[in-house]
Amino acid sequence: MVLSREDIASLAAVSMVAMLSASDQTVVSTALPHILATLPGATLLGWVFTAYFVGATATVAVVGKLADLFGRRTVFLVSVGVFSIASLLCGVAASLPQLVAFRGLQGVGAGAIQTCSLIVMSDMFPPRERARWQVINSIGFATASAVGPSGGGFLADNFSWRWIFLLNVPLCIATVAALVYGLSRRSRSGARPAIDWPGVVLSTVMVVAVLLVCTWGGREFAWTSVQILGLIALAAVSGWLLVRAERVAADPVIPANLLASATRALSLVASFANSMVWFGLILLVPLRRLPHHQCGHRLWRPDVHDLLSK
Amino acid sequence: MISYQNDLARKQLGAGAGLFSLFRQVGASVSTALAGAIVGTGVTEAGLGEAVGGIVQQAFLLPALAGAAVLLAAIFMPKTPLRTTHHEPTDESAAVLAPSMAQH
Repeated sequence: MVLSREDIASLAAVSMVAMLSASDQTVVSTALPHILATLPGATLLGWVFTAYFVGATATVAVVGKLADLFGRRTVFLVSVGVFSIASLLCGVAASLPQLVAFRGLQGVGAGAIQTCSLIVMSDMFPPRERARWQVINSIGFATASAVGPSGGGFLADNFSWRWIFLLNVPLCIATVAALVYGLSRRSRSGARPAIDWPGVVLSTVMVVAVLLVCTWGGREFAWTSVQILGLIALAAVSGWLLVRAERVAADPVIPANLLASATRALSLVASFANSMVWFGLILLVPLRRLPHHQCGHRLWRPDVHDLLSK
Repeated sequence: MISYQNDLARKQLGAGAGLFSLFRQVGASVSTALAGAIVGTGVTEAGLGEAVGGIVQQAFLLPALAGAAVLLAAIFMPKTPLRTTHHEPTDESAAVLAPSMAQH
């Protein structure tokens, strides 16, 4: 398959923003001591990670529908814009609460970027061709996730943790230029479905409630506390209402038939579990007090051996 | 990811990509939230010292169990050939196709 200039520009842009959003998921792990030295507030430490993921997770389900409604190009450009502005705000944050808030906004942009990347790749290539090109994209995604902690440690050690975020801005501007060029002839308007707002709200509430249980349970609040049990109840009720809402929605944000076959269900289970493996290892390994420059070098073998020996 | 997209009608690629990303993000979020909780506990109780390493080591059981789940999902996933064009079967035929392909 011969790629046009537009295809190459689109592929480069998709890979670039996917790498940026992936690296920003893990990049702050080794810079935390520097961030804490500048912006005191150890009790909010976990939220520098978690706010990003809450933002990313809360938006991904609806972004696909928005891309159908407004076109891939528009939604993709807005997503990169949100990510870029949030990165700039993270870089100039004056307090830890500000940084947490801006990380949440950055996560919103990153989640939208990752979903748009999948859609654009799907539009460009049929499945058999897509496998080849998706591997390239996935290698970039995985490499960026793995290099993130080492890169973050290097920048924080030698310059400032603020450059971890500020460096995103020029890269995002270059990406926007590539997207404007590459996706200009590729956007499809198609049918214009109505947004399933009940589905959007309920799925967001359910996901955020689950995340807060994971974040606060056993730490901020006891597992049997009113707060945690209330969040579990909220997640259960919103999940139940979501199922009911999606059954009657004209154009549901999460159609039931997306889970209707064994291939789809098992693919989603594998996606969920694979992320747990990947991000669990990436975030835990650098926190074992290795020198920053050795994190990438010693990422796998010693720690996998430790894991197996336990 | 490819197996999931291969099983979807093109008109559902947007919603499908959103759901796939949701599962991926929830997996990452749950994993990161737990890791963040561990880090926060270590920093709060023991400071940024060697004690954090011991707490982190115990948390490695989490990705190990998740890895086993990935392996099981891959083992039991029906074998479906990848399409060579953007044209795809309808949702109804895809739902029928998947179980039949599993017999091969």
